[in-house]
Amino acid sequence: MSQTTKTAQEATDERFYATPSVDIFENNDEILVVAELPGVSPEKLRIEFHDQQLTIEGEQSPFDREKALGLEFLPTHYRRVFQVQQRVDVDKIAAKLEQGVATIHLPKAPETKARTIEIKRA
Amino acid sequence: MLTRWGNFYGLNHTLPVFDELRQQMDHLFKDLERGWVPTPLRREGLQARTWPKANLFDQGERLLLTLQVPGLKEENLTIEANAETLTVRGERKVQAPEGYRAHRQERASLQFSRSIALPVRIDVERVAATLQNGILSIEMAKAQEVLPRKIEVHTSAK
Repeated sequence: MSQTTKTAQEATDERFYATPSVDIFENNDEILVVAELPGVSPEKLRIEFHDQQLTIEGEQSPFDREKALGLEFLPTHYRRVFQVQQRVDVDKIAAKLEQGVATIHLPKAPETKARTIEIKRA
Repeated sequence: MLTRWGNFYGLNHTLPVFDELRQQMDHLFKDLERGWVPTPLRREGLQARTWPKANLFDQGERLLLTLQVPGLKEENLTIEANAETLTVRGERKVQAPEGYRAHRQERASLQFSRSIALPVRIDVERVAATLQNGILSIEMAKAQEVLPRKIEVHTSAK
């Protein structure tokens, strides 16, 4: 029952909520997040890092549904939140949006980087 | 695969769930009358396998088809038009960047070919496509013969 109510609310809201597909990679220097957000322009993309939480949020431009002959997607509101374990150098977070795909670089804070320790001979 | 168009979402919905169901049933009966083989019901979430997802709009003199193709560039896409069908082909390769280990990989490499049966004939010489923010928009001019014709009324000469 509650499921039905939820669907009805979402549909009357004129927007469709979706979870973007995401890839997460890591190397010694950074965490790399790649998110698919087709139809989201750079102005409508919001990337936030707060309290070790990465939030990716984007909104597709609306379109006139009155003239639709067939719809497989609605103006979509994308949102996804990740809890990040590692310390991140927040000031150096960088992102770009290309072909509807956002690439977010989260550089690791220097103290969390794995270090190879040289063993000195006595 | 040839896909037929239907109204997948109620355009005027007080009770969207029932509206949609009613519309789907209407379409099903209409199809049976016409002797078409019904295609499976399509709903966001239920059929994640259709890629890319597409919308079709009637703009009067033109049809507009929009497709979600995140990560594809112009050179990865081929569009083929004939009077009644539009076919979009493409390929996308997704690779883990070198030297990185993957924690999560939800994006896949894929190759697709999607043909869409158009509701009216189009003029294949006047098809234009643009790619922006991962959305491919294809504008197709309707064929002259399907456009409403303006008939001039002449007053009889005296």
